[in-house]
Amino acid sequence: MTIGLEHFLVLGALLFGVGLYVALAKRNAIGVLMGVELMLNAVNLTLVAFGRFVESEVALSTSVFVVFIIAVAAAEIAVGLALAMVVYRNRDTINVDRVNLLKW
Amino acid sequence: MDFEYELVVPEFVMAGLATLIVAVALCFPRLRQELLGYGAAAAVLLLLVLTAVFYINVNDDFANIIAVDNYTVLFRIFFLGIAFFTILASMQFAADRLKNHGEYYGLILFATLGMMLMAGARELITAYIALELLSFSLYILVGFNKLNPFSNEASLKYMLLGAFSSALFLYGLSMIYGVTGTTTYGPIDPDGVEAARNIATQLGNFGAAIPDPALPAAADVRPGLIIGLVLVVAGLGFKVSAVPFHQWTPDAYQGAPLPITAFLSAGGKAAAFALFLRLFAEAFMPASAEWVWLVAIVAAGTMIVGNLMALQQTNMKRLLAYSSIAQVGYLLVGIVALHADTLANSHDAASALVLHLVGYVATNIAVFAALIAFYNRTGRDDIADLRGLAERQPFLALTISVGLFSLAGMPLFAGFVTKFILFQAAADSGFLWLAAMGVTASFVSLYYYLMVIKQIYLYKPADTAASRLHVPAPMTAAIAVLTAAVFFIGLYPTPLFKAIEHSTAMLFPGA
Amino acid sequence: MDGVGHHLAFWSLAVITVGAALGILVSRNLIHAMVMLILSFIGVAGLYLLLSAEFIAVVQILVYVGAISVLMLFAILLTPRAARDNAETAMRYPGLILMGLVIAATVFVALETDWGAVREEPVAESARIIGQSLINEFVLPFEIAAVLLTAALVGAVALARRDDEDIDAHEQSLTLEGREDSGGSS
Repeated sequence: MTIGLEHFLVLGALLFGVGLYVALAKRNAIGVLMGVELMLNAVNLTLVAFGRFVESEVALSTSVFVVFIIAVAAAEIAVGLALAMVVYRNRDTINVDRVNLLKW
Repeated sequence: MDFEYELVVPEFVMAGLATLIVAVALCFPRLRQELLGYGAAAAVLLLLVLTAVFYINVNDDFANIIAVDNYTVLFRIFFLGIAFFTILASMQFAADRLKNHGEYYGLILFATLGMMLMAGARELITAYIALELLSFSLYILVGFNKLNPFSNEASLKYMLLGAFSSALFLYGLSMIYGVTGTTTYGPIDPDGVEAARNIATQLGNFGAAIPDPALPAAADVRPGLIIGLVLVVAGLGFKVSAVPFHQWTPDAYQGAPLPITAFLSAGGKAAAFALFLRLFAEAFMPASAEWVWLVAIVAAGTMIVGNLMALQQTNMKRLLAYSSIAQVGYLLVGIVALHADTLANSHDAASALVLHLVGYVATNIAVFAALIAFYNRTGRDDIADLRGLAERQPFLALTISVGLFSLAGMPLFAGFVTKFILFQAAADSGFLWLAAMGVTASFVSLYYYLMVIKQIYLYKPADTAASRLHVPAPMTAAIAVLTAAVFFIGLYPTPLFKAIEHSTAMLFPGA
Repeated sequence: MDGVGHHLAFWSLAVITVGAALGILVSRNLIHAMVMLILSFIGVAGLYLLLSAEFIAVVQILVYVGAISVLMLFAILLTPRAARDNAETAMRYPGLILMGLVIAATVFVALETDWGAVREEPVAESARIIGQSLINEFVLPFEIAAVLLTAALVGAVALARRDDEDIDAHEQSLTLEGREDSGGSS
């Protein structure tokens, strides 16, 4: 059996599912961000696999997409961690289930 | 590939302006803070006028990734107006309760830039980055009141859920790419040149009577397309706060500084819908039968849950959060109604959606501006705190009542006409049950809006010593203009509707 | 891709990537989860190499492993009084069910859809093509991304820095402590 597009897509699906669970169920804000990063990695893997195997008019527009997603992810982490630090400074915790002044 | 940079001058000016304000505030820390606000507001207003003068009927595109057609220009003007009123309404609030004014106004402008690009993007990568520019600015603005634990918390939750929804949206986009092999929305760019490969053409075999052998067969790509559409709807559903992705909305609205709540409910939603409408009308139209039921269910759920949850709120910001969720439900009916027998019906639905959006935004900013003026004096935002407002400040009482009646869809006010046209479009497209549900939901909503109005007019102020509230002149002027707009749209919507029809025609080149 | 080497590389990288991701899922310690995340990032970078996307693989190592992971580790270290465990919220079981559904649906889609996979050979000189598209057809998104990074930076600094008044209060408390110390000696 040849290693083809489906192999990478299934791998991406597994990674996305695990990331989804981690993002939804972990209580530490940094843990949630880890889950989001896993999901984004799954997206990137899927896109790169499509870029490698699917015929398209603009060559490698998927790779450009991936470069942008990586840049945005880095900014996302910077903003997310800044917010986590601010919450920590006021509350001494970054657990999303203990940060509950507002009804979640 | 032609790079006509003159088409995107407003966007470049906006980016420069935002950076300039941050830099000025940094270099001249002793500068009077009001000057920053007035400077930003004046610049935005000037840009609005210049955009209206120079860009109407340009109908061109930048390298086929940003369309500068009347649809984009309408939303550019609309978003600049939202930014103008938000900055004006922020002025006193920011001076009293926030720090880092340069960054505050700068981020509002960055967010507006993201909104303008979202309306113009006709390519998935650009649309995604513009969406993230808006989202990031909003995450930070929601948490801008650093010393307030509510604000921090709201911002952290909003950010985590926003990042999560972006990942869902992206996974959806990657599936769409897998099916179509392109990121361009539609077949024809405004020059009339056929775009090489695009989503709409690639999806052409969906719903086509005679399949085109050059395109992927509908049956083969259906699973990938459907999961892609589900994920895209989920991701955008988070951004517009549709049920069941709405949980962040009340928290973010309550925790955010009040002017930012107004900006979030007006600008954030309007921009997400501008993107939603262009994406679904230009790119996903050929496969409309695949997504219409999904969006219809989300719309129905959003109308029901938004209105029912609003019934039990005691905080004004949370009430308006759920009321805005309900409004999203009505707006989604417009997206559903895109799926019609004729292109003309789809066009009507798109126009009705944009008209309702404009009416909703004008009304919501008016209500929030009045609440900000009230909050600046009292520091309170519970519904019970509005008790006896009619005696303390009749003008604010009148504005809030007019706004709430309009949101409920009472005749005379903007909400009635826009909702009427929207539900009529839905009925024309064959979604009578959704229209009926919307009308019923509107009657329910009247109850909770009336509860607020009852507090304002029927009760004496709780504190008998409470004196009249002073509202500064610029704020009074802004509120008066917005209230007048609500009446104007309600009484004479024709010119606005014609303009909107003219601009949404760009999304349906065949009509 | 049917050589023995390809098979070996794919399956080992797949096991590393998904295994490390599962490690994050079950790990009780945030630092351990972090290490697992880095391992998963490296595995994905290897998969990019296998897909002939060398440039993306390098970016993945530089940005994800080099920057994002370090940033997250810093955040863990800068929040010393926060809990270090990586436990679940009440969303645990709904989350597990949702994960199962999503994986089932996406795997089904990946296998059932006809993706029209036709390209046998990878695109050559991918880094050059990416660079050229960034200054040609994707020049505007590129510029928007620059604005986005500026906005994120400005915002993150505005949030994370302590304001003047905080610093004044902090310095005041320091000088007060200093006064107490010097008060004893004089």
